[in-house]
Amino acid sequence: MKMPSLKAGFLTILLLFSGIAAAAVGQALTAPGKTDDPARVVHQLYEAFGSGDMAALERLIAPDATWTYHGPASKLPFGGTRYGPAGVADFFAKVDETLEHPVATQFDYIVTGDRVAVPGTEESTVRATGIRYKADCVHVFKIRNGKIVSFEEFIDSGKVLLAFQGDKSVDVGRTGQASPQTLAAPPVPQPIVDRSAGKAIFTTCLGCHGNNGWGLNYVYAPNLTGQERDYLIRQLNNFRDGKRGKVDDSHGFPMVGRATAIPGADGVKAVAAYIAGLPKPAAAPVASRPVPPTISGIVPICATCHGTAGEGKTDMQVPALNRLDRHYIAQQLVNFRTGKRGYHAEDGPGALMAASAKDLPGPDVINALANYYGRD
Amino acid sequence: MSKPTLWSRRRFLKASTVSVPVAVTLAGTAGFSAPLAGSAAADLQQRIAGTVVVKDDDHYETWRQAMIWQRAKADRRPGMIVQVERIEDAQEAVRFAAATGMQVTTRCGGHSMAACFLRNGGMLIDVSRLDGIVVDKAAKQAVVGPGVFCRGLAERLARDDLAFPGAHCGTVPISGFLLGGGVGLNTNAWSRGMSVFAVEALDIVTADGRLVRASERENADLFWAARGGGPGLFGVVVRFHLQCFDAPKVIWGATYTFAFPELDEVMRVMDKVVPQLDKDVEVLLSIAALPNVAEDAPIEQRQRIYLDANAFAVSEAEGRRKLALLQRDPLIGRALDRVENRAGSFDRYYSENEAAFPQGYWMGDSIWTDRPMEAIAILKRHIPDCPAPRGTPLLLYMGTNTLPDAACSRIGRFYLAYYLEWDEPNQERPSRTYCRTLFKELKAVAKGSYINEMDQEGRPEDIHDCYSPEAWARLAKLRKKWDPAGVFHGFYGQS
Repeated sequence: MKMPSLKAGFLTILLLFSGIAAAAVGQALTAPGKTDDPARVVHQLYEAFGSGDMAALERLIAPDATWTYHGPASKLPFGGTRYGPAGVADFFAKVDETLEHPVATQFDYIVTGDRVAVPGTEESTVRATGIRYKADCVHVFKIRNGKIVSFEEFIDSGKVLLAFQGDKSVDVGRTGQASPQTLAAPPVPQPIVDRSAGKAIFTTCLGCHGNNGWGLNYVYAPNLTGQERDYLIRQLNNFRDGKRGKVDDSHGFPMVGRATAIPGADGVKAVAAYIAGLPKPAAAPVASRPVPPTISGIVPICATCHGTAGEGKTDMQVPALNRLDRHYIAQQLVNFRTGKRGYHAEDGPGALMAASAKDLPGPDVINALANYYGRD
Repeated sequence: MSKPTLWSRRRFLKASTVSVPVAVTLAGTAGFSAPLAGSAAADLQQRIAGTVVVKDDDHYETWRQAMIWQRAKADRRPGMIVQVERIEDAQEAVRFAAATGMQVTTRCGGHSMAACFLRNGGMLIDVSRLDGIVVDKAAKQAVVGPGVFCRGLAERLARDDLAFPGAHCGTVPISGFLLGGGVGLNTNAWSRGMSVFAVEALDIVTADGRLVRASERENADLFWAARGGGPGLFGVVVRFHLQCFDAPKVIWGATYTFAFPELDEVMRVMDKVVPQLDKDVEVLLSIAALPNVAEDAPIEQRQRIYLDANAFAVSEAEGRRKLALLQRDPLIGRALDRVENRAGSFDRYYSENEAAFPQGYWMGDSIWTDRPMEAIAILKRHIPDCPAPRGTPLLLYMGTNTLPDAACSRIGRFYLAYYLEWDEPNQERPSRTYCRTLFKELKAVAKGSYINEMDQEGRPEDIHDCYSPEAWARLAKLRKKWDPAGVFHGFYGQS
């Protein structure tokens, strides 16, 4: 058990790459989700790594957790599967014994049910050989009751092994202070590149909606992914044509400028197509949620347009509610009720929704609907 | 502060069971293609997770225009645009540019009114996807990617009861704003007049592709340059380490509207009364045309003066006290309209300010001045001749701070900016000519200009006036040290 060294090692990560970890988890950082939300649990683990918070590590890892590093255990001391917090501690002790100056990058959190996949890179110097490798990896976590019950690291362990064997062909030098000639990043296998007009135009969107279009709730910007292209086009045109985004719609009004700046109808189509093609986070598990009594009479009405699971209906250009943040849904219902949305005679679907929202009894029902259909 | 979610997810999916359909779908979609084998783009593209676009690409022009936030698109064409997804991409791009002789500029939000980042030829590195915010509440520090919007930073910090002197326009990313010095919110109280003095360190990709930390303790001369060097900085800043402040419990505000003939009296208040207020009271004067009055109507009918005061306070009671001196002035009784007792927040501030920064066709210019009465007198003579449908002068009291030693070396008691917005193409040229003429005259009462809002296209010969002579010379000297081969472009019109 070499916890102090472990802490020092991961403090190095914090100092060098503290921004990256959080950048990768913009959604998890900002989502007000429950403490046992899978992405949040994983994020907490990385934060614990960053701060050397050993107590948090103990708290986050289930007593019966399995911890697997896919690589030859006979060659890589930290390879193979370990069990429970003690096994995890042993894993990090082995890491610390054999590696130094670790740097980790997490690019993203991909959540599917109780599993979280985190693609990224790992970079370390093998103490015995001085070779510094940088390898692509994916961490796959399984969460149960707010604890990690399974961790698997899929890494280019061949590269790691070569570094252990002293093979200089994998040496990348020391990131951060190394000489330029040792810093050449390994080629990224990338035969297909998105250079579409839609991606270009999305550049003006990403500051609020995030690089992945999943939204940033602290700037009140919704997840755009999971919506049909034609629905996105209609909403962008509504903003452009004065049918949405009144000045007093404080978080909708900024969209007027952004949408208007999109170059023409073709630009609108291009960016909508780009967004519609983006990977999307898991939908809210509406079908498995109990319907609160306060909205049991309303949900069937919603379902006629938005579908029984809030999945939306393509033919009606009705949005998928189960892709939206619950706070965003609540705000939009308020906007529909207060004339800030669905106010324009030529926005037929919006006007229909405004008329429906006016019949909602009050804030409790709005919140119940938002919580029922929305993502945490 | 990389967040290459799109590509990394795609790469991840390709490694999984659902990879094939995704990849096939992408490959068959317009805009997706393998880089041209053997081309410069292909060479760099192979090494990065970001996007390389060259002039031959079908959508080059869309990419080029997308780099400029506003709708007036400067007619300059870089040879290559590299939208990076991770810090290593920026390093690779700089190395590639150095090896191939391409000069580099950097953009993030593309808010530069002069689009000074857009040059003919060379490489434009877009760092807007480098985002992310990490907050250390106890230490009152944040590590922030260059692509983070000032509004986003404010809202995120507010969750931890912290704040930072971000830009007044919420959609401005922190990067260009800070590198140019940053005329930000409550800087008189928080950051010695300019926002950049709340930057504790920066991580910079230098001309040789290294990633280095610049702070008071590490690479101090580079830190000196980065704090104010703005578009003339010889590096790509990929991460900011910020000092944060206790968030105000309320932004207690008032806004008064005055008739245009009251301008001299409003200026008296700005010059004599406002400096007596607490440092955390920010007072801003603007002059704007009423939207429903004909453009050729007499100036007295068309223009209104708006005096906006905001106290960054710990309570409403404190806010009231901080504004009291201003509100006791006889001028306030003559306001045509007023909003008082405004219990604001950053959210409300940015929402209400959104309309002031339209994503339209516009340009602007600025000066620092200790002689506001004379500056306004000059302005008053010119306002009736403004050819732009919407011309908005703005005067902000900055305080009397002595700037720390940094490239950001020019400031005045007042910041005077003028924003011109037009609708039709034929209004652009006369607007630019008018602005240049006016600001050439304003130079007589100016202490230089603010690089971020200076008309670099119209007055490139005056760019050096954004810096003290000593700072200008030292920037040139440091450029030779840190970028001896001239990998990075210098200031617009300089190199």
